[in-house]
Amino acid sequence: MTFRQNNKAPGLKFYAGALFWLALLALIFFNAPKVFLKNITTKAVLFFAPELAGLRASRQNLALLLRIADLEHENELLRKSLGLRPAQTISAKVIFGGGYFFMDAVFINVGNEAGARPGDLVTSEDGVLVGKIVESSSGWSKVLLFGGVGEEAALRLGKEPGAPVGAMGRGGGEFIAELPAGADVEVGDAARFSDLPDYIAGLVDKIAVEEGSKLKRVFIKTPFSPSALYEVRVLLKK
Amino acid sequence: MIDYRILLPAFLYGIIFESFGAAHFGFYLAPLMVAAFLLAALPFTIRIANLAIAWILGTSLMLFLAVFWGGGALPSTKVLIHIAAYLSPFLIIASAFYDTKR
Repeated sequence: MTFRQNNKAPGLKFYAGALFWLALLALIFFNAPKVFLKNITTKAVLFFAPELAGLRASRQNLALLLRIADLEHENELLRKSLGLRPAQTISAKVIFGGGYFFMDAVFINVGNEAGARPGDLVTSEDGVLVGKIVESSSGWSKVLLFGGVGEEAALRLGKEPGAPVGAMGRGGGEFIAELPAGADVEVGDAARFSDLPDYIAGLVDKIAVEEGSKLKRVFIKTPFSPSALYEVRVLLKK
Repeated sequence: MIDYRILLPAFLYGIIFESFGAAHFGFYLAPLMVAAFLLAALPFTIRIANLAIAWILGTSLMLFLAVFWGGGALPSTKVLIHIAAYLSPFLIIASAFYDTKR
C-alpha cells in the first residue's frame, strides 16, 4: 500500500489566513460585523480619550466642571419644580476627531443618557451650525460635520437670498455650488441652509467663472475650524 | 503567497478609520487593502520602490473614490492632505513587517 508523503496538517498560518478571509467577506457582505467592529473599535479608543482630556485639564478645571455639573443639575430641578420646560440645549466637549487624521467627524462626551439622539443638530459655542449627530451611545455621540465629501445641501446665497441652490460637499467643511453667471453673489457673502435659515452654512470663499460659460462655480467654506472645536452645544429635538 | 503580516495591520488600521471617519464605508479600507495586497505581491527587491508604488496606488484610489462620491467635483485641499496623512503612517507600519526576501 502507498501513502502520500507530503500529507501535512494545516498549520496556524492556514487557520489565520482562513479566519482573515472569512472576516473580510463577512465585513463586505453583512452589516452585523460592520456594526460590531465599529462598536468595539469606538469603545476601545474612546476608553482612552477621556483619560487624555483629563490629563490635560488641571485639577482646578476639573473642580470647576464638577461645580458646573452640580449647578446644571440644580437648575434642572428648580426648572422642574417651577413647571418650566427643560433646557433645549446641552453643552458637550469634543473628545476626539476634527483634525486632518479623523476629518469630517468629531466625537462628543454626551450620549443618549443625556438625551442626545441621532439627528440632533450641533452648534459651536458661537452658535455656528457644526453638524448633526449620527450615532449616540452611553457617554459619547458621533457628530458628522457639515460639508463632508458628497454631502448634498440646499443653500441660499447672497445678501438677499433667493431660491435655494444645490451644493455639493467637498470635504473639510467646504461646499461647491453652480450658479448662473449673472447671480449677485460676492466673496464673503453668507450661505444659509434653506431648511435651517437661522444658521450659516459657510461664507463664499472663491468664485470661478470660465470664459463663455453661463455658470459660475461658487466655493463655500464653513466659518469654523473643526480642529479648533473644543466645546459644542447639542440642540435637542424634544 | 499572501503575506498576512502586511494585510492584518492594514485591515486593523483601515477599520479604525472606517469607525471614526465620516466617509462612505469602504473609503478607507478598500484602497488600503488594495495597496497592501500590491505591496505583498510586488516583485521589486528595492523596498522603497514597492512602498512608493503601493502608496501611489492607494492615494489614487482614494482620490478616485472622493471624486466619485463627490459628484465629480475635486475634493478640497483638506481632503487631499487627509488622504496623504492617512496613507503615510500605514507605510511606516507596513515597512516594519515588510520583507523583500522571498
